[in-house]
Amino acid sequence: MPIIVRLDVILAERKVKSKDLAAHIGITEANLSLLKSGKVKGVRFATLAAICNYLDCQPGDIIEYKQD
Amino acid sequence: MADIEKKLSLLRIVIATLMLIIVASHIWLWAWPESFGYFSAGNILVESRGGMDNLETWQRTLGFVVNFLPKVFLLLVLISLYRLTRLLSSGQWFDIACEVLCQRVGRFLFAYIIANIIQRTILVLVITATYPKGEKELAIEFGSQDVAMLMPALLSLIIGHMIQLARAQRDELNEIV
Repeated sequence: MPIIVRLDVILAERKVKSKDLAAHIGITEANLSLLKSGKVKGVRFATLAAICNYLDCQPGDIIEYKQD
Repeated sequence: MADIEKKLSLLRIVIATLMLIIVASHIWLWAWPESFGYFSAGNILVESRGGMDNLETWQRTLGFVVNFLPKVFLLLVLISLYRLTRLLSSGQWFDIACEVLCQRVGRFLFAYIIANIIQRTILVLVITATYPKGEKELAIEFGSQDVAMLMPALLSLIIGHMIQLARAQRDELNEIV
């Protein structure tokens, strides 16, 4: 998959716990964990917007496209 | 939700009643054809070839069994529908069992059509078995009634396929956070 999720890096940089982020965006910790590991088929714009809002970042900071 | 459950319960009663009617009418037709004649024309194949009174006991017994064969598939269709309503009651609309049952209904309806054609051929053979040489009959019939039955069979298969697609779509959506 050429899409890399860098959410764990951003969380570490911002010193934010996954539990807090999950509670803020309204998804379960299990789903957030799947998102962090890139094991999901997609991310809703609403989820992405809530993550960006909470972490004060841009979608490009969270997901990255890397050519194989 | 309670309203849906009520409707499904009613549907189950209708299905069970239909099953009873199929079995009871078949026994009545072959056991007491005289009284059955008051309500229906009876079995046209038999009536057009001299009626039940002219049949010997073995012909009547074999006729009873042969004539019941397609009805077995019809009963299987109704049993599948009954089980389908049970699944719907528990909210398993997109379950794999629901898809399997819909496809089973379609396949049983196809089997019913084929069994009906074969049944008519065998029944004519049985009825005319005691006829003198040269008067025995072999009939193969495929009527508009059979063609009409193809529609619900195809529809059931299509619905089964639609449930399969819906389940795949739901599973895919479940992987989007």
